[in-house]
Amino acid sequence: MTNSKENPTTPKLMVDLKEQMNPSFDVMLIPLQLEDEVAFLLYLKTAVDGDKLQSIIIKPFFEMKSAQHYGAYIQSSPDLLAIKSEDNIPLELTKGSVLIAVQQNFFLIDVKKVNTSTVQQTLMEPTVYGPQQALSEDILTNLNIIRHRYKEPTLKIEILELKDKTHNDIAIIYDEQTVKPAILKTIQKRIKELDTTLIQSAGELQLYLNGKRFTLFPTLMLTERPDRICYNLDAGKVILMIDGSPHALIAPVVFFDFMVSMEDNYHLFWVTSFTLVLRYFGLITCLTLPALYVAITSYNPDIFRTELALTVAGSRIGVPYPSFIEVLFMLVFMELLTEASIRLPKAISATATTVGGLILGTAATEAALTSNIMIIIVSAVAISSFVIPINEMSFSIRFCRYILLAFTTFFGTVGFILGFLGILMFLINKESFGEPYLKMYWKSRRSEKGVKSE
Amino acid sequence: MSRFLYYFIFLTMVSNIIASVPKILLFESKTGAIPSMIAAVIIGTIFIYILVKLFNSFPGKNLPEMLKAHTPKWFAYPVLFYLFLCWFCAGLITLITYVFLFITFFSPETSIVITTFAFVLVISFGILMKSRSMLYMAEIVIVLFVPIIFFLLIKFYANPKLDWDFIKISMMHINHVPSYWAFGASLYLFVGIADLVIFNKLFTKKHKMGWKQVLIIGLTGTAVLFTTFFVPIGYNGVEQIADLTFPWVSTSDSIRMKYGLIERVIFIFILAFLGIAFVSLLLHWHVALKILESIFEFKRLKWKGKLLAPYIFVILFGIISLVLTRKLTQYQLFSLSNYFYGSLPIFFTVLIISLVVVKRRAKL
Repeated sequence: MTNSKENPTTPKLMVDLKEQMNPSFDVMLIPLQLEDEVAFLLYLKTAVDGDKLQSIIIKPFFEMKSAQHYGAYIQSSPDLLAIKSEDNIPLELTKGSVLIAVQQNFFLIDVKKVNTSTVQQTLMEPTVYGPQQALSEDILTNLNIIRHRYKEPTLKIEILELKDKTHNDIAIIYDEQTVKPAILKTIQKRIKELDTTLIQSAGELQLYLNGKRFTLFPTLMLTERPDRICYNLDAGKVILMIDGSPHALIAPVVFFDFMVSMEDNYHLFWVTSFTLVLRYFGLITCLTLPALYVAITSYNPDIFRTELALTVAGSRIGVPYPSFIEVLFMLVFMELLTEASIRLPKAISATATTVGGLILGTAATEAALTSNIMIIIVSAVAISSFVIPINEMSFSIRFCRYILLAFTTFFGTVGFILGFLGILMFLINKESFGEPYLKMYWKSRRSEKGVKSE
Repeated sequence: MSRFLYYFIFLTMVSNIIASVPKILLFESKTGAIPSMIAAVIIGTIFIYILVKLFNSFPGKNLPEMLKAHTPKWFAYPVLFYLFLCWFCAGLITLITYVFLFITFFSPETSIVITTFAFVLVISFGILMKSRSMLYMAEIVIVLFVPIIFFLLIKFYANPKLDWDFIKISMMHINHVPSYWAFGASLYLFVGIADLVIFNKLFTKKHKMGWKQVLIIGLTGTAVLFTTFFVPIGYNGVEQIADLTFPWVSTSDSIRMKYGLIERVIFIFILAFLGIAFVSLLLHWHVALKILESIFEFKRLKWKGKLLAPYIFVILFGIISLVLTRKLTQYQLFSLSNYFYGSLPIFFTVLIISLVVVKRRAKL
């Protein structure tokens, strides 16, 4: 290989390219020679699949009668890439292509090696029934999964390349029959306008597509479930996938989409309705309960019937500070516990939750730092915030809880109701790619089909 | 008719209970409240019919645009300013009445400024929203709060303490000459449709307005007025009813839910009507803001490409309401609302005349 440079017939383009990429150890420039027939290969050893290279590029060369035959063979390869310009070649090489020179002709063949194409189990949105496999981290595998599940000729997949340093592919997937052209256009425009140096995951892409810097509620949905993707394709939504991320983005979304679990489609009507009611109850509970506690104990203890009011007040005997500090104290510790159990390795997180649970549960009440009822409220809030099927929404609601708490602390019961109405208004005024975020959908029963109605 | 038009109408109808309408009506319960209520139902329904028909000729346009395009400036601007004043007052009266009510019955220890400030803060954010969001907000609040109000209504009517004899006695006072102030107050129930002045921009289709729609509006108006007027009488009697400052809230306190988590209905009542008052205030002030924007555009006041005028107006709204809630006494508020309701027939006349003028000029 070292003498390949001295080889007089090595094409100049290849030598230049090798020079350009030189300090890297994995640049390979190999001549293939059999009697008079010569071909040259240039590739990055770490980017290509060695077996594939051997079997479809190198081996046929020695089996062909002439370089002309070999050229024809290469030209008809399904992985052949068009060479747009010479400047483009280094980029293609880094992506895992091999540059072949046969008889003064250059060909680019895609032989990239992907180690991330294993399909993962569903982690974030598990279901009891329904498919158990999620997506992989390789875009082609993912597209294959979608094609396999949604066999309509109207399914269109457009590939755009990011302009950042990863040069990742972004796939825009939609059903031509059901998609709203205006929304599709906005999304394409926003992707083309992206101007950042590094986008590595679907979550990050979502932030940049949002259009605004400070956002509280997600306007695109991250999902890992292929069945959710197909369900939304059918509803006329646009799916975005980025190479290297096991999540897909769904746009546009409305608030109710975040409350739908795919499980709902696989169960009986009344069972589904029941779980849906349960979920909304959980949403309201985890949003309002802490603020309600402050309103009831500090501002209007007279609202409740006498017995209940006395129980609540009696449980607070000995607590040395006003109720909002108590609530804040407990909530913050609960959030810390949640956060810790997410970030820690699985082996340690069990210990963390046990220790934390003990502290929060018994010790805090015995030390008269909080009331018993507060403990119940905190655990109810913690449990019910996990009922929201999509994690992003759960995080946003967690944040909203504090806004509501602050409003109630400052303004009392009237602040509680007004704060709630304010959050509602905020959601209603929000838009996801031109679609109103929250409104009543009367005509369509299934919320994720929202885009079609009206 | 679009469902949102019904929302406009029904929201205002329901919100009368926490405004001063019942107080004014009950004040005149022995001197012509009933005939003026009957007159108001008929005339109010006719007004709604005429207004919807007139707005049907201009789908997708709001009144300021229409006035500016087809009438001279000396006509358009005073009319717009008058309309703005009416809407602003409507919102202001709702706000101050509700704050007074809340302070009196719910949290007498909280400072009135703080309660008003809570309203002003949320409302200021609300009225700056898109007009379309306003409609969805109205819809969601109706879906959330109207079931509670229906529940309360059932409670009110099913309670054995409601004495129908009192109601029958008060019905004897039908043979009076209608009183103007009571008529104005009852006409307030039908003022909701006038929100079309701004919101007509969002309705590009014509509204169907036949006998069916008229019947629905008329019957609902009758039912709401009947409840407004007769339920407090049924609980409190005919004699001293005129002395109550908040007849409806006092009435709601006479009901208890023996097994409920919340025993006194008054708390549910006040909180449920908070939602209604809020949306009614939101709609009124949004219309007021939009009209004001059309009068004073201040195109030069810009910051980062955004017009500053709406923000200034909203701050002004907030300051005015904060000052007035501190300064006004209960009696002054009552007379202010009385005059406002008294001006409603004029308001309707001005609105209809200006629409007719625009229609004629546009055809010419």
